[in-house]
Amino acid sequence: MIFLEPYEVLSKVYREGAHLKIALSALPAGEKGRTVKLCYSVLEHDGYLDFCLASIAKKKPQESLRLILKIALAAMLYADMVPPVAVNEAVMLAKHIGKGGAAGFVNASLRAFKKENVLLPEGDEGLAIESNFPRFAIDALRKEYGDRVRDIVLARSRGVSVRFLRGMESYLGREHLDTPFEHVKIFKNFVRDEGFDRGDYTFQSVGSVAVCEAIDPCENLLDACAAPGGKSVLLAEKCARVTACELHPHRVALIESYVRRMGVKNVEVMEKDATAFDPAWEGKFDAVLCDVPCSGLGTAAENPDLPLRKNEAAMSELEALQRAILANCSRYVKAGGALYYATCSILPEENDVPVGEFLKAHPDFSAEEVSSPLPHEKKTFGVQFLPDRAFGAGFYIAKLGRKI
Amino acid sequence: MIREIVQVGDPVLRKKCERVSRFDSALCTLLDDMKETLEAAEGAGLAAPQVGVPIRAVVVNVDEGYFEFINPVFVWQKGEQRGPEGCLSVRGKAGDVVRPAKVKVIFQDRKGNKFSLVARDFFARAICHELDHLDGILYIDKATNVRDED
Repeated sequence: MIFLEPYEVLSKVYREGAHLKIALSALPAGEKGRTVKLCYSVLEHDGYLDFCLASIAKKKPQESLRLILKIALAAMLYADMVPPVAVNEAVMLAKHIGKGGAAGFVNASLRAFKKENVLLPEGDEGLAIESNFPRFAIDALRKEYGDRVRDIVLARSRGVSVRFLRGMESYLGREHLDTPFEHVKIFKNFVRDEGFDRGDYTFQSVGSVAVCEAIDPCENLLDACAAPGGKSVLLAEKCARVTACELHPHRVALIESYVRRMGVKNVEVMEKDATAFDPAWEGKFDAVLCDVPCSGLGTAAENPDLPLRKNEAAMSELEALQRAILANCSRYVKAGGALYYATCSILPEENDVPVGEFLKAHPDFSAEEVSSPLPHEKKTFGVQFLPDRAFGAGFYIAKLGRKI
Repeated sequence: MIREIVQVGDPVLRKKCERVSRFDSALCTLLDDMKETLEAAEGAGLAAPQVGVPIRAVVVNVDEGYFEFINPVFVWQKGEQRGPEGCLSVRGKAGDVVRPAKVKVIFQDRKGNKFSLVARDFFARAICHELDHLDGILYIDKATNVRDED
């Protein structure tokens, strides 16, 4: 019974106020992937699912039935479960928890569900609920992209993005999409096998690959905010030495294990605060990548489970951090070298805006042209990949050259 | 290519379907189209007669995965389950049907290779429903409490 575990976990969360991660960790080990995904989907889209319920049930159903219906709706909307299967699972769960009398209601209301019948508030208020994007982000994107905002925030993942080092041919019999990058394919389904442990391939967003592709080869590169290490490892193919830094010790360990799995020898991993100036590094690097902490709003399509409860207060904290990292790390770039600023955000406030401010304050840097085979928008300083046209990936990169 | 799903009343749904003897490109095209049609309709299963082709081929898409069954035959059926069913050829209706809880089928794939498979619960229900189509049987012939969905 597929919905029983999510039902038990979510009951604890809704009724007892349990923390989702703790409730999930209490589950027996084994295949919990689907339970985890369903639980996150229900909680992340709780607001929208309430509107879905209102469209199929005239009266407000009791708590346990609401939860069953929400799980089934989330399975259909976000986990690609076909309606007959979801309906059957929901009916079985209702019977299992002693609500057999409501089986007919569960069955009929789920079968009657149509996305078109969900009545949302007018305009961008409704779009915020449907997309689970915060309202301020919708407003900012509307200002920048007009009606395209709808496609951007509702873009769905195209599948699992896999970057191959070897042995790709043996996987191409499965349903997949080609990307502009020869060794990156997007699979509808991809279960990892022993090839993963051997480092034959890795899971890396096509957006992350595009950011790396936009960086020029050099001798000595600093990746200032490197965890979990995907970009450092890929950049090590074209840069002689990569120094990968990270603030948090547990994330330093993530980079180390990633580097080990991929068998890369020219990446040096260090624990270091990217906002604290180290005089020993002044002017020492040919290139510095500041892949700064950000809202992650550009990866909502790829990670529907990602908590998107970003409010404006949290955003201004992030934006201050982004500026501090960029200003500090710029001092590590040698004359004639390049400073790269990247995010997985689609908000101008995290991208072209801080870059513009930096350039104004640092006349020894100037924006240089960035090109990419992945569809993108050219902004004043950098390029913006948007999820509706770039396989679900919303990333940004700018290249700032340091004058000689 | 998405094909039109014929609705109850069309005589093709009441025919006993022919065994598949040629595993050729026409069969592959039909199966590919059935998959696309089933996905577009968000259904759990589709039989060839439902797209107007009276041959013994069905496709099933359930939690266990996506399956193609050519010339399927039951080896055995065990137990009993009762649950709601609908059908892409009987739009807007649902009804309760008693089905075996567990079934074993032998079948061929699109290349003609022979396989057998044991299915239970909803997967078994879906197989039973689709195999009935190959003998001209619709679930409304067996269901109780057939009702409008809205």
